[in-house]
Amino acid sequence: MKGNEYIKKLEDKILLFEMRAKHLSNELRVTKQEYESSTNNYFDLLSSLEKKVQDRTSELNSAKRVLEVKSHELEIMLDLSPTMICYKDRDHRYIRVNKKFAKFLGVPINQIIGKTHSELFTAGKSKILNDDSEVFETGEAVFNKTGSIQTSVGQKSILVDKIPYKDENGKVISIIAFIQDLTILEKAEKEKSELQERIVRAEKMEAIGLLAGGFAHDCNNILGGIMGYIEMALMKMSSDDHNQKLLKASLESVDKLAQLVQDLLTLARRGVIKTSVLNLNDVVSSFLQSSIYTRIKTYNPGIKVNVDLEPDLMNMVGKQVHLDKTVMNLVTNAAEALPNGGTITISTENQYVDSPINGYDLSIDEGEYVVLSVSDNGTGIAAEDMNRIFEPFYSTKVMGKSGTGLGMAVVYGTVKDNQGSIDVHSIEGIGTTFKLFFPITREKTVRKKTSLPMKSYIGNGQKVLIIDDVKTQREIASDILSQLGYCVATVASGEEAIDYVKNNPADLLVLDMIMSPGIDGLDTYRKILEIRPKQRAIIASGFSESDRVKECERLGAGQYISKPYTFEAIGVAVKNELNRSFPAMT
Amino acid sequence: MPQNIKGIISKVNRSEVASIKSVVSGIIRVINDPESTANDLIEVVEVDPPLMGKVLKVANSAYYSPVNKIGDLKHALVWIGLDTLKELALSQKVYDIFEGNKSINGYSRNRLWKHCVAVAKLSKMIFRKEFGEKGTNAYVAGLLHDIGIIVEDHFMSDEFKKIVGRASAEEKNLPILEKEVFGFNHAEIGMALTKSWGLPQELSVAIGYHHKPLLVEPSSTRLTSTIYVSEILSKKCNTNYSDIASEDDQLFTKCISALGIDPNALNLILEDVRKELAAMHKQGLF
Repeated sequence: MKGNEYIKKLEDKILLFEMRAKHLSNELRVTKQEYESSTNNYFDLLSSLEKKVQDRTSELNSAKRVLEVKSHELEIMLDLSPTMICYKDRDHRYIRVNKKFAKFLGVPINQIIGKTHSELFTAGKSKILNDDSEVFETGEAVFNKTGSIQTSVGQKSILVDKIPYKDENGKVISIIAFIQDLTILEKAEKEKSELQERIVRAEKMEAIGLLAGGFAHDCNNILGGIMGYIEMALMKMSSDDHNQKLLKASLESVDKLAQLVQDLLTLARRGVIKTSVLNLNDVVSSFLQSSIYTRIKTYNPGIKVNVDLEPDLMNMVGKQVHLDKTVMNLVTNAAEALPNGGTITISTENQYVDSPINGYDLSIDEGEYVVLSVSDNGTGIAAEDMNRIFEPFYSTKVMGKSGTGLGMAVVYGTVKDNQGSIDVHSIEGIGTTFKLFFPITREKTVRKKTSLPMKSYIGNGQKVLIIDDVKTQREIASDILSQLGYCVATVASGEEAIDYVKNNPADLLVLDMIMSPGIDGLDTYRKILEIRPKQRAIIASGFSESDRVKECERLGAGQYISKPYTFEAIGVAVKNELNRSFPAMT
Repeated sequence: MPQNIKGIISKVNRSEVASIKSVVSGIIRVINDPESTANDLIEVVEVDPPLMGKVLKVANSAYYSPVNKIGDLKHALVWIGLDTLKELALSQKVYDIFEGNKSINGYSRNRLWKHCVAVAKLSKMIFRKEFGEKGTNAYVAGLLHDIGIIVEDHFMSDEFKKIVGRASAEEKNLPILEKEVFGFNHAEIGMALTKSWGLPQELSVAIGYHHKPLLVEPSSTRLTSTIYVSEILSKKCNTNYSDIASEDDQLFTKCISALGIDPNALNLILEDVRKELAAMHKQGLF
């Protein structure tokens, strides 16, 4: 090869290398640019990815929160439901239960989940909660299935509704069961019927009381006549007349009848005696000093009486006479339950009832009470008699042997009149305890006035007008007041009285409340006050101290007296009213 | 059937061929926007699920041999690079209208496609190795430069078949026969079509003048000349169709001297592209 040619070839080669070098360096430069822009792009890409991840994460978080809230709401609904609820899977395992159901089973929720009922309680059969195959197979809900299941507190009877839960293909994947505790329902049913029985008992007593009250009203008027005429006959007789003995005997009989009527009146709950603040200890003490108590002790020498009085017994508001009778009747009854001797315990105590307790008829409400207990260790009351012991004339004893037949009815009426409650416990052959609950008062007792001697209510020729639609009543009142030294006139109606007063001033009116036909006592008094604004009056009634009586008292009438009249009652009332300064009209 | 270009273009734009319009112009916009990011490209491609599937298929091919299966465009982007991904997406979309194996006298859409890809690769390589530039627009221009032939194939197929036959028998360049039969050539159709699609002026001009690269303004000659040079070079790549039967050596020499390229340097570039195309062919990407 020639040198020139060789050099030429070499030059070509060098040229080629130069070109390659140029290409490579250019390629490198472009690649570098691309690399740089790619790096920026990757950075952009990554940061946008990061942002997407963040967005997605926060989306997921908020979705999660919504789900948590929903799930919490569901949880609350489940747990607040009064029904027991559970979800079970195809294998009869509990998936979810509410608190109420867990409490019923007596097993913590986390120990229930994932188990079948028979795994929870291996002993005893609980087929109703173990076998849901009927619902799974038919896909239909099952309602009102009853059965008994095992719980940690023993067998319980339940009522179950099972509802299938289906997936989107309609296949039953679980069941939801709603369970009711039948033992609770049964208990509520029993309580309801007991309550109804007690209400019926109370209503019956109320009706009997009304009937007795109506009867007593008429009876008193008649009795007043009989007593008045006998007393008048006795007064007119010479003291050595042998007929006096007969009349006195008949007066005694009438007196017994008056007692019976008085008992009946008590039942009417419209007793004419006003309430006062009193202490049950005093009531018991005065009973222990009474002749009746002495008689009981005398006729029943085998009976021992224990008295256990609370020294600091609270006062109560009540009607002294009725409470006297109540104590008397309870002790008399107790004594009759001890034909062969025994022990009667009379006790008083303060008691605070802080949650209502069931009494004989209605429940005893929360409150402060004084309690009178009379118990005996005698024959006891048969269960079948318990419902009727307070009914008038209901007795297992021989009629007429003792009492009026109204004793226990008086006890009942007294307690009800004083907003009290009764509790009776009796076991045949062991004994009986009566507990009377009376609401307490913090007022002090008023010292009882001692009755005045007859001289202190003799009149001094004052003019008294007697207004009564019943002739015998007018005659008796007129007779008593004449003898006491008053100048008496009588009229037979309110209208007559108004006419009379127009022309003849009277110092005092003795005004019968209920008159027929014509206007009643209140209207009469109103009309007369128009003529004689300061007219004094006393109101007489055989029935009760009604609202119309109270209205008379508001208008200025004085003391209210009950029929039948007695010398002392009417005499004192008339005297007091005449001596009283007339109150200003309100 | 005397027709004017305007009529042809409106016919094309009402046909299926125009279905590539929005995605192609979208990708080209991303390519030409220096502010654009990878996300912009991804947005364009994502609205075309079949295209995305093709892109991912190529990205997963042995040619790029990813370590893990590429499941989305971001992954593809990281693995094959943004610029390559742009080219890949564009070529896969343009290929939609080049599909078809029916051969007439050495022409088939498939062989025309291979020709276009070769021109695109060569043009890009010239830009990179000789000018030290990315050359993505050269690639795009190369890929689309014969789109007018496809239009003729689709819409004037009878005449087109005759012309192709004659070109082969008479050893005549295609544009001369086109001018004779239609009154316009495929370069003019391509320019009008890409203009109507709103593609950059530079591209339309490169497509319109790729047979007369020196008859444009000096600022455009570099791209038009590169396409022309690549067109001539592509004949040396195997199995590919050429619309140039007889080369104009004088024009070729003028062009390479205008571009300032040593013919030996062109040979080096040709060698590299041939190797790359052979590799792609081997992997079934052609």
